[in-house]
Amino acid sequence: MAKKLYADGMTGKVAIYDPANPNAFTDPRNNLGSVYFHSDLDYVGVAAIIDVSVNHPFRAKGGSNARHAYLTPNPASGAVNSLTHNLGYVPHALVFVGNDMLPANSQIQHVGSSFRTVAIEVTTTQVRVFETAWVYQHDLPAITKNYKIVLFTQKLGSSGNQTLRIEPSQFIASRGKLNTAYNYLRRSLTSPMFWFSKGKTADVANGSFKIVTANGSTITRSPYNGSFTGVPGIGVEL
Amino acid sequence: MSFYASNDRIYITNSSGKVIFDTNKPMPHIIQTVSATVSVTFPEIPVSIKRGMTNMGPSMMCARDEYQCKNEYVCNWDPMLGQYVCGYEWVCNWVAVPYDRYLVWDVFDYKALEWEKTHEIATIENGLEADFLLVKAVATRTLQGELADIGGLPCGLPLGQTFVANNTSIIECMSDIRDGSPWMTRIMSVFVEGGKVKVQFKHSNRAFESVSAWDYMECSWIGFPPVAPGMPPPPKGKSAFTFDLNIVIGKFTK
Repeated sequence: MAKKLYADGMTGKVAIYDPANPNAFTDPRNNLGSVYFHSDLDYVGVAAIIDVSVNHPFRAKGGSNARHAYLTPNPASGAVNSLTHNLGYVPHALVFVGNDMLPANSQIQHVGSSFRTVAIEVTTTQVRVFETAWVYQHDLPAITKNYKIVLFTQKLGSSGNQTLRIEPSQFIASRGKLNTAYNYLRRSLTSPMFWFSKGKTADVANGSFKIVTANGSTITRSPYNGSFTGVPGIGVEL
Repeated sequence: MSFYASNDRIYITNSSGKVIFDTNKPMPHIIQTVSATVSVTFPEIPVSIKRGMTNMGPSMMCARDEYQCKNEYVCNWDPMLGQYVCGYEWVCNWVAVPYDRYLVWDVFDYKALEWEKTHEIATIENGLEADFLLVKAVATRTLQGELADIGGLPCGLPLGQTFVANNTSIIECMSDIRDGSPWMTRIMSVFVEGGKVKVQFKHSNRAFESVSAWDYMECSWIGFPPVAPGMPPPPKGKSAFTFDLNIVIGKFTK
């Protein structure tokens, strides 16, 4: 299919679209099926990707509780790793444990009645791996987990007055909205770096839960008895 | 940097030769951003007290003095006759009688409960179908529920701080301390359905008897109190949270 690159010097708009549908240039949101790029759209850029291996420490089981015949839980909670990003804003992010986009506060380890969960906290300067360990009858041995934390840009604004600028080191269109200095994401059918999802990633039933991640990985904790199948995600690459 | 344009494809590479943009690969873009505050009060779990008891048998610990009378064959010396005279006579005495002693224990007996509540928080503009969401949230716990065996319910979210919600967040989860299997789980899901952005809270617990037991010994003749001494009121697990959500709604180009 033919694709048309059009730059309007008056408005600064730049688009690549199907020339069979000229409305794609003037009204891209309602003609997305004909749009390949349009400077009116707010593209998602990646500000940083943090790949980190985190050592979660040994956690000792609770102490005796003779009266009720079990060990009193020994909770521990707090950041076990802090990583600096210095973006100056609290970014949107996606978190992958290994390749799996697990729900926030997912269990990353369970031994007998004891378990450890992780949530990712973001600030204007840092990403923190926030661990909570609920240690009942069994010790939790130290464990290492690999995390991929994708931090996104704020809305990419436009600045300056250049509608189209092409030079050996850089391509800028629509006052900087399309800029080879940014890391744009693209759909990847064959070798995604990670996944986007619009659906639920977990369900509960019969007291327990089932996780179905955007890439299709499944974690079912017995005695879950629901019928959740998840929503397939969309793989992307940089 | 290179710019390639042919009749059916345009793509751009950066100075490293890495493809930055390619019309053959749809690009995600933001179609809407939504901020919302949603609150949830998770339900109380129906609970009663279940009693068990074992008869330990008659025990002097449960003896009570009883005035007992019976015919006894007795022989008394009759000074008039100068001999013993024997016969039955009605004799009454205070006697310590051992009664059955019971080991009694009370536990909390939770009934199974499935509960959910869904909020619509935004209509996606222009009738577009979203392809993905990015969700960050701040959780505030306004009421911490308690359950037997654990006390205050654990919430592993960094309360008061912004966290990455990854669409679904597990808010509270509790294990059966006998075998580790979850018996109560609560989640929040942010998702797209029918052109709307929705937030759903779900609670699930299966029937569960607490490991915690309040036991005591009691004598059968005394009777049993309705609740074991020292047993607290049943904790029902009612927690409440408020979530400040910031949601990016995204879509891919063609």
